[in-house]
Amino acid sequence: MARTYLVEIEGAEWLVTVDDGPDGLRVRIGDEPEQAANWSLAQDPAIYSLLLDGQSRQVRVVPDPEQANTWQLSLRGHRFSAHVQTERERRLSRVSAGKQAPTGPLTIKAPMPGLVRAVVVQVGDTVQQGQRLLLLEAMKMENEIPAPRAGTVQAIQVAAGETVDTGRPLVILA
Amino acid sequence: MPIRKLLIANRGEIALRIIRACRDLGIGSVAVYSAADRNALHVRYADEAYPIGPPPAPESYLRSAAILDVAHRAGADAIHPGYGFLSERAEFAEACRAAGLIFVGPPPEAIRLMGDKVAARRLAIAHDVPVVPGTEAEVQDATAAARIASEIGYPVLLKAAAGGGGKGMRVVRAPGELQDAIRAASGEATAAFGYGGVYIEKYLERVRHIEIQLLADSHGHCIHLGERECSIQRRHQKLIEESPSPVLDPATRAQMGAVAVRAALAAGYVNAGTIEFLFTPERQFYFLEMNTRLQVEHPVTELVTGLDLVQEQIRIANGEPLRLTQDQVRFHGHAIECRITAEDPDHNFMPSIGRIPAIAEPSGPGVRVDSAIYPGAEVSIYYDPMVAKLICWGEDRDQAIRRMRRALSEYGLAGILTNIPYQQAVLASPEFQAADFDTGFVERFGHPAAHTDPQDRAALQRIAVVAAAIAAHLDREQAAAQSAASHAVEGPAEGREWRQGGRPRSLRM
Repeated sequence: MARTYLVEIEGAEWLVTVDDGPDGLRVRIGDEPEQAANWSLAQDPAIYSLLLDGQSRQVRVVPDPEQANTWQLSLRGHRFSAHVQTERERRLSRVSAGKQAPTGPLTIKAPMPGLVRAVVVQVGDTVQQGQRLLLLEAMKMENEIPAPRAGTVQAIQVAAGETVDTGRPLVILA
Repeated sequence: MPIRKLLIANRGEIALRIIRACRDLGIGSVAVYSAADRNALHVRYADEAYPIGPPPAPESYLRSAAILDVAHRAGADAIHPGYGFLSERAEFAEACRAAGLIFVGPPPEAIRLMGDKVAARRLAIAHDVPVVPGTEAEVQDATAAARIASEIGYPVLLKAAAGGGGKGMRVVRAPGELQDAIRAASGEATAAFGYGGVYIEKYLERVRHIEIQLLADSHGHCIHLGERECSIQRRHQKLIEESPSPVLDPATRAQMGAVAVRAALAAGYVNAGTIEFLFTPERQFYFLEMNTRLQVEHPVTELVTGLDLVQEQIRIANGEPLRLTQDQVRFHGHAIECRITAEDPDHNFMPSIGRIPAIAEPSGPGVRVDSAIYPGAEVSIYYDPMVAKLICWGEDRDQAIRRMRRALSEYGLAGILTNIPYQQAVLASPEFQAADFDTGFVERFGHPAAHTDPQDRAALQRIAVVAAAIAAHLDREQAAAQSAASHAVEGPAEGREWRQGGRPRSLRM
């Protein structure tokens, strides 16, 4: 069945219609002519060979584990994140998004397991975006964990010398 | 008596590299492994393998007593330490000697001498080897450090006295940064080398890092195998190395080679070693340090000289004289190495950890891959983020670069993020192609996306758009088909045609 998707990628939006007919997939970008697409899982898992009107491309596609309807793609070492929805899905997601609080405290989690070398901020500190919050040692190197946005340090949930796993809350910014 | 069975006190690609040399020479190989490496290729490719402890290196790959014990049990007559871990610990080389084992590397006295950066400087000065201005001794306290730094003049460089590989190193540009930097450098040095002493040197701007590969036998002969240009570094970790250096002429090469040979002979050095130099825009060179081990980047020298450095190391350890005189060393073509690391270049090179479910390795003319990863391999926090080395040879630098770009474009590593996009951006840059760089290149280079040809990116983005739409479409088709199948059995469920944002099984990693 043919469906039209809204594909958001790097701030741009594309309209793509995908139809699986008897001769395989047909793809139309915007109002361009339709193209034959041959899509094949070339190497398990998730490396696909795409033949688009005969043009050969290899692409890795995996669903984003964090965000619904989002796909992580890599082609020739270039990475893309694409958000894909049908119009109906978008309308539904807009309705539910409207119910959520747009802002709030932000929990900074450990991006990897490691040893907390030092916490360089204190509760109540005002921090700028990019300012370092703490030093996490992993793979024998010290990695600075920066503030993803400006804010005030509301809580610090780890201490220097502690070992943390991925996803462990480190600092909460208000 | 020649070595018949060699224990490799290391892991990863270098362990595999040494095992391969053993095979080529008809020598038995013994691997050791931590609990994290039970399925590692070095375990599977070795003739024998023995566990030495839990994943953290201090409890396994750094436990010299456990490793010596394995050597005895397995009947090994020699130990190759690889790079990192125990490779530059004089006590380990001494313990091997005391246990009647051949250490495939320099004598402990030479490791100790050249590993003590201050003593190495004194030796260099005594033998007319030019050195960078700096302290003769380790800094004792913060006040002394501040005084020394202002005497030398900022920027200064803090270096671990026991160091190497950039660990425990910090550039300090202003007095206010000094205390933090000493703490960080000393902490890193303690973690990496078990010793936190640091010293201070003048930080030279716009210098290149050029090193000379040496081979010395136990009969007093020493030759050099030309240079490697290692200026593309991030936080003193090399990213790209090449040989020859695009800026060295034959006369300067011969001069630097001769100086390096002189320093090695003065140190009583035997086996493969490297002398690192800083090379200024005024074409002055300064002795930086000696690495008393096989280097990560040794393959570029192998490709331009045609020699197998690990085999040469083993022959030297056997007491054989060098097979070549300096005049017989020939250089052919150009070689480049890219270190492939599990780091995310889009996020300040944050380590990327995880399982690698699939790999597509490059190959073809002029391509060598030194890697120990395999489908299913796990990149853990316990070890270095370097997962592979890609080395390309060409008849000239231009061909080597083109081959490297081709090989990088073929390299597929699923499951982790790697620095490959960054390497591609560097190789594509006019600065790299013109060899117009120095050790500050990476700091200035910025984000890889800023260096991508916008037309290329736009073409790739179009493909990504199509691929994402197809993936999303097939996801929904599959979910709809599953839903229809279950409805046929259980009757219709309420109002959901298909899952929103579902995770199709066929695409799950």
